Amino acid sequence: MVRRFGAALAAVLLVSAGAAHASGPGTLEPWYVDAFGGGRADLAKLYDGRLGVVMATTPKPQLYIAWRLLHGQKVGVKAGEALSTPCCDPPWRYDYALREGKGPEGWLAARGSIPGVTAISYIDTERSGPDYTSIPTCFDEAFDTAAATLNERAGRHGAASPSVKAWIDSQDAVFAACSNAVAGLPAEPADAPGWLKQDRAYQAAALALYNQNFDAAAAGFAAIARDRTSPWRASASYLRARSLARAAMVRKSPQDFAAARKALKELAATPVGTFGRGEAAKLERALLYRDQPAELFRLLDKELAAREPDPDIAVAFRDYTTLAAKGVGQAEVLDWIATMRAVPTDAEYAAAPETAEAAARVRGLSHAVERWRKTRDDAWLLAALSLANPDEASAGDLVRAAGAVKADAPAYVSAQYHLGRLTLAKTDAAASRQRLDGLLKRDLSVSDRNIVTAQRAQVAADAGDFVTHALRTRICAEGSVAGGCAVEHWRRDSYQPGSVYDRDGSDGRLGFGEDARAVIDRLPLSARMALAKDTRLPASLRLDVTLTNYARALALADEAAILGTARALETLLPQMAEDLRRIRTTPAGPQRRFAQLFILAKIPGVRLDLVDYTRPEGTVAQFQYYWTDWIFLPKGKPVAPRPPPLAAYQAAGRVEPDTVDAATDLSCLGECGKGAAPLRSPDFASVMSKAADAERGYFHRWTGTASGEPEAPPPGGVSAWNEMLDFARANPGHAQVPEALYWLVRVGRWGGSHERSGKRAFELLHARYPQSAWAKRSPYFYD
Amino acid sequence: MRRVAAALAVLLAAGPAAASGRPLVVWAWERPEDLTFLPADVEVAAHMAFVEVVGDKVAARGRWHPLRVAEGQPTTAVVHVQIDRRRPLAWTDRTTELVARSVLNAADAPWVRTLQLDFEVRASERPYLLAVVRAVRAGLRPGLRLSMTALASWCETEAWLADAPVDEVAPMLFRMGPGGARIRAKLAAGGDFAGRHCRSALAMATDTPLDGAPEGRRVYLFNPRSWTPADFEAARARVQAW
Repeated sequence: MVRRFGAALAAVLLVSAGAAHASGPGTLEPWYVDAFGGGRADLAKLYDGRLGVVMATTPKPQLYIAWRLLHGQKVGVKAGEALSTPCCDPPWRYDYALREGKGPEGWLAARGSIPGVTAISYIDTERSGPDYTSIPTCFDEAFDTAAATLNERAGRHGAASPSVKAWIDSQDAVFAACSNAVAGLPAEPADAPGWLKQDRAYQAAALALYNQNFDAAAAGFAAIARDRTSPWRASASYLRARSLARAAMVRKSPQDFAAARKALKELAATPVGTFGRGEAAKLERALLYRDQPAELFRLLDKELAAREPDPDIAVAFRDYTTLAAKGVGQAEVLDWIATMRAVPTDAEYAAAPETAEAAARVRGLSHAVERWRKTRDDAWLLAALSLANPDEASAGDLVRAAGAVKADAPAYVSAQYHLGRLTLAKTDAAASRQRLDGLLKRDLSVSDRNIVTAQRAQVAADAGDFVTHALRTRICAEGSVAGGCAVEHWRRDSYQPGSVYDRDGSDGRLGFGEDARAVIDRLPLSARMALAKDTRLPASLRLDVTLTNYARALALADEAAILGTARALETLLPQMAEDLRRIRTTPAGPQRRFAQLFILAKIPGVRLDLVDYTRPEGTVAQFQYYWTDWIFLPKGKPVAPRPPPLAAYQAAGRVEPDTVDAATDLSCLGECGKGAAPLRSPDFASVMSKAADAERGYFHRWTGTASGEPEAPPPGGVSAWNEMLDFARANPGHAQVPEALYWLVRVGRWGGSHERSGKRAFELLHARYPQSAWAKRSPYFYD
Repeated sequence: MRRVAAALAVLLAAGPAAASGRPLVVWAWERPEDLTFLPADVEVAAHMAFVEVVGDKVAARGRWHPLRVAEGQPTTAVVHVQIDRRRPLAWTDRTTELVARSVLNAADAPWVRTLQLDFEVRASERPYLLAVVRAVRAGLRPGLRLSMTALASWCETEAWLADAPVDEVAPMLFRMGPGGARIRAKLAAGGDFAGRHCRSALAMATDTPLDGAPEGRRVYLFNPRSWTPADFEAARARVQAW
C-alpha cells in the first residue's frame, strides 16, 4: 500500500542528499561549543533573530539562517526548524519513539499475528539503481498503511479467512517489488469477495508503480478514481498524477512531462481537502528540476531573497544548492558558505595534501576580504574575520571593522568574538576584560557564553578571577533529545567525554574549559594547590586538580605538599580515605614513602596533568584507565620540560595530534573558523611560568617508543614500582605488602609495567603469602 | 586453506600498481565518485550500505551517491555500521539478526568477492561486533571473503579481535588520536602490528601520510574527499616509496 508516501518519496524525487559518512570511529564531540545552535531555548532565540557566533562548521542550511539574519530577512520557528534538520525529513524521522511498531517492523509484526502465514523476517526496501546506487522504493508509510489495512480486514473478516490470506499474499508481492521486479499479483481467488477485488486493484496499481510500469500504474489508479465504492478512491487521483510525474522524471520525454503537468493541474484544481492536492506544486517543482532547471533556479533565487520565509524553505534551499553545484546558476550565499568553510580544492590537495588546508584558508581569506571591501557586507566581514590569523596583513583592517560593528547589529557577537581572538595576545588585559565583561552581560546562548568566557579566562586579573571564568556549562546536558538540540539530527555517531563534569560519568552540567585545563596544567604546584582549595569549584573538579597535584608533589619530592594534598584527598576521595590517612599517621621514613606510593598503585588514572588524567569513580574496583610507569627524577637532575601540547586539550575539536600550539583553538575548538586562536596565558600565570617550567623539569611523562618498547628512563630516574618491591622484600611483615603486590600485578596487566614489575610482584606474593586473599585473587601475571 | 587461496588469488591478480607487493584498494565512500581513471589493476571497495542501530531499532539503506568505475574493478562491498550515541543502546539477538541481514544484503550483487564490515564499537560493545561478524560469516555465500576494518589500537594492545572469524582485518592508520603517531612510527621503522590477525591488510588516508609499512598486504586507500587522479597518484607514489 502506498498511501501517504508522498512526503517521503518527495525526498528522493529531487536529489538524494544523504550525508557522506566518514570512515572511522565515532567522533568525540566538544561538549561546550555547539555549531548546531544548542538546545531548544537557544534555537528559539536564533529563529527569532538573535544571531550569536557564526561558526564555519555549522551545517549549510543553518548557515543560511545566519545569512538571512545578517541581511534583515526573517526566519521564524517553522523555517528555522526545517533548516535545522537534514533536508527534508519530517521531524518524526528522528523521534524513534513515534516509530515504535511502525514501518517494516510494524508490518511484519501485524503479518506475523495472522496464523498460518509463511514467516518473513526482513524486507529490503530499496532497488538497485545505476552506478552502484540504491534507490529507496518503499517507505514506512506504505508499511503502516498495509499493517492498518490488514488489522482492519482481519478484524472484519476473521484472521483465518482465506480472503485475508489471499490479501496477504498479494501484499507480499507488492513489498517484494520494493527490491526486485515482480511479475504480478498471485491469481485472484475464484470466489474473491468485492472488498478483496477492490483491494487487489489498489495492490496491482501499487505493484505497477514499484515495478516502474508507470502507464499501468496511472491507468490502475485512474480506474480506482472512477470506482465510487472503492475505499482507495480518495487517494487515487493523487497517485495517478504521481505515477505520471515519476514516468516523466524517469523517461524524460516531452510527452511524459506534458501528461504529468496536465494531471498535476487537474489535481491542483480539485477542492480544498482533496488528498494530495498540496503535493501538486511540489511535484511541479520536481518536474522543473528535471526539464527546466534554469527556470527553477530563477524561481528559487527570488523566493529565497524574500523577507518572509517560504513554508518549504528547506526544500527550496536544498534544490538551490544542488542546482548551483551543477552550474545552473550562481548564488552569493553559497559562495559565502563555501568561503567560510574554506575546503581545499582538488588542485590544492594535488599540489600538497599536507598544506592544502592552509592554502585553502589563505585563498578563502583573500576572497572574503575582497568581497567585504567591495560590498561592506557584514556577512563577508565575518567570513574574513573567521579566516584571519592575528599576524595577517589584513588583520588590522578587519579588527578595526569588527570593533565598529554596532551592538544592535546581527553580526555584533561574532565580530566581538573574532575581535578577541585576533587581539587577545597583544591588547592590554584590563581593556580586554572590560570589553568581554560587557559582552557577557548580553543574553548569549550557552555555547556563545562558553566561548566568550574562555576568552575572558585568558585575561583573568588574578587566580581568583580565573576560577570565576574557568568553568563552562555543558550543552544539552539533559540529553540532546530532551533538550531539543539540533545536533541530534546531524551527528549520530558521536559522543561526549565522560568524567570531566561536576558529577560522575556522563552526568553533570559544569566542567573546566579546555583552555582552563591547559592553563591549570601550566601553573606551578603552589598555585595549583591554592586553586584546588577554591570552594567555588565543584568537589569533583577539585578532586581532579588535587590528585594531579599529589602526583606532582611526589615527583617534586615536596613532603609538605604530599601531606597537604593527601589530607585534602581524604575528603575528596572517601573510597581511599583509610589509605590516604595512613600517609599522615605514619612517621616520616620508608614506611610513609611506601604508603605514598601505594596510592599510585591503587588508582590507575593518576597523572601529572589534567589532560591525560582519568578521575577515579565508584568503588576502588571500578576505577578506570591504565597505569603509567611512574619514574621519579633525583633533585638537581631535571630533564627538558615538555608540557603537553595544546592539541591534546583540543582532542574533541578539529585538530590533528601533532598540530603546533599556535594553530590550536581552545576557545571555540576549531568550530568558529580556520583562523588560529592561540591560547593567551593569563598574566598571573605568566608570572609563574618560570617556576612552573622548573617544576616541569622533574615530570617524566612516559610516552613509549616507536618500537612499542618502554623508553629508557632518564638518567638517575627511580621507578616507583621498584621502590615498592624493594620495600616489600625488606618488610615482609608489613600489613599492606600483600595488597600492594596484588596491585602491582594489576599494574603489569593494565599498562605501566616497569621491567616486568608485575611478574616480580606475582612471584613475591605467591612465594611469601600463598594463602593470602591477595594471592588467591592473583592467579596470573601478565607482563 | 581457503584464506591462503584467497590471498594467492589477490597476489596473482596484482599488476603494476602492486609492484611493491602491496595490492591497492581504493575506498569509494558514500559520496559521488568517478574512478574511471584508475589503472585496471587497482581494486575498488565500494561503500554499498549504511546501517544504524538506534536503541533497539535498526535502520539500513544502500548507497545513494553514484560510483562511476570500470566494470570488474569493484571487488569489495563495504558496509558501515554505526550506533546512535544519543540514545541508550538496547542490543538484542534480534538486533544482531537485523544488522547481519542488512550487511549480507550488500553482498548479493554478483560482482562482490569480498564483503567488508566497517563497525567501530566501544569496549563494552565488542560482543555485539563479534556477534554480527559471526552471524555474517554464517550467512555469507560460499566463495566470498569477509573483511573488517579495525582501529589500529585493536591490533596493538587487544587480543579479542583474534576471535573474529574473518579473512582479513584492515587496521585504519588515520584518525587515530594521540597514540597514532607512535604506531605509524613503529610501522615506518620496520615494526608490525602486535596482533598477527592484523597482518594481511592496512588502511591509510591521503591526508595522513604513512612513511612506511610492511610488504605483502592489501593497502586500502581512504580519501576524505571525492577522489581525483592526482589524489590517487600521490597516494600510490607514497605506497611505492615504502
